[in-house]
Amino acid sequence: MYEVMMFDGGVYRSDEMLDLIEDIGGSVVQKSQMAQTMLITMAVPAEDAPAVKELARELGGEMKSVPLAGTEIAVVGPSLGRHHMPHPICDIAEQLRQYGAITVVMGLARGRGKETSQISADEKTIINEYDAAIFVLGNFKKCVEEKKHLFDDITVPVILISGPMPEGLDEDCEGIVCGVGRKSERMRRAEEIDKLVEIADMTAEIVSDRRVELGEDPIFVHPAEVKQRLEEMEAVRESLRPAPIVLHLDGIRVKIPYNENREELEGLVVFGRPLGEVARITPSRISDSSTLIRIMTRSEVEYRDSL
Amino acid sequence: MKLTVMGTDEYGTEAYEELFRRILADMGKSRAIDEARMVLRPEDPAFIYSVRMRSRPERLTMKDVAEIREEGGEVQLRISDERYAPSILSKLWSTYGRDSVDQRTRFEMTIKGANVEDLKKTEVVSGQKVRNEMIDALWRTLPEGMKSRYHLSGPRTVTILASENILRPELKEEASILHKEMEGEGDV
Repeated sequence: MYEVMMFDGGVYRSDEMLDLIEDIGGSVVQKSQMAQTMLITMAVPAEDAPAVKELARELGGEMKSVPLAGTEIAVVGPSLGRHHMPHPICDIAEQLRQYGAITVVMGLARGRGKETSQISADEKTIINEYDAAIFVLGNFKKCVEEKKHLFDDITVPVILISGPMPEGLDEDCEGIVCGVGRKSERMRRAEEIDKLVEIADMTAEIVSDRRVELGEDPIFVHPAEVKQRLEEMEAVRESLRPAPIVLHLDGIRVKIPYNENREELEGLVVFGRPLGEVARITPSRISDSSTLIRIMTRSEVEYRDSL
Repeated sequence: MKLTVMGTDEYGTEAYEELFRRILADMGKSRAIDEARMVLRPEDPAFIYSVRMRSRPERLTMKDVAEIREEGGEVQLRISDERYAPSILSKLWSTYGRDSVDQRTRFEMTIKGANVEDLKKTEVVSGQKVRNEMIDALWRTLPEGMKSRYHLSGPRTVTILASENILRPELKEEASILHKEMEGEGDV
């Protein structure tokens, strides 16, 4: 079993940490360097985690828990207009990044308005590509309640952020955090920061529940192991995207075109099996340059083998 | 700024009052407003904002905000009202070109090839621009989905009615009454 954690330390001797991760068969989920600071989010075998922690201590850095590492979360607003962006949507996305998640900010094309708000099938499909969706709505109770249709057909966990506490939405979303609403400036006051932490904690809790749910019928192979194989592909090595491979709870988003790489992806050998046999590989609905890999559960693979 | 908010949604009313103050402060319009009244009815939905400005927005020319004189074939300009310095400078640059405007100090500059009389008549701020900026500030504070809008404009007062539905005559009437009240109080 892999454990995901983050090294927060200096650049000096950080290559030793990278070497150790490679030696123990772990994987770097994300690496970012800011001036003299180095942040490495990694997935390492649980039995080797103490060795990593020991090295971090030796290097003068620290290991942080990142409850949302290995997830990609969408923060969705009714529009990308200045009424809703950049605050509080970007503030929430940034807080989730500090918890280790890869976040995207999304504005619906026609999500604003009480009676005229809409969500298209395409938008729903895109939201369903992520591990969780956070909907950020406004200040009027009636308006928030009327917009519950935006969550229909969203299969991933939905967390609603709004100003007032809406009624009758408990069944439609996994979690509700109220007291945020529309903002015209950055959330930087103590009570606002507490709110951001509350949102991130709730997201972490919901993601953790989802992990437990997935653990009941585990996926055939951990996404971090597939990531290691993907890193060997030429198309991935040549990709100029800042994070060409993004881990999901039950798969991976790899930012290379589906049409050109389908055969190679399906033929990648993971645990002695071609990836095409143990995962569903589909193009992403966001753009042609991304491919989604959803790893099947063990029981699903066994069932397909028995046919 | 005196602000009165009448709303049917307890949380939303409080939040929009705060939002209104902050957005206007961000846009530098708070000091320009004498009184504002807001009617918030999200269940309709109908939103009426009425704002009375401290002074009537007027058209200002270069003569009103700067001292201009001719000296040795060149025009010397001294900005007398600092608030308009950016507008004056950008107007001079766009009219005469950057090479012809020599800014010696913060408020003093020499302009080559300018005619004093023409320069005095050059418009720095148009009254309509100030009014439009105020309307833009109000639109920013309104909820985004309210696309049906109706606005009334007086010498110092601007009133906006916004809804998602067809603007019914009684709503327009309500906006008109509020507008008249605000205008009337301003004249007293």
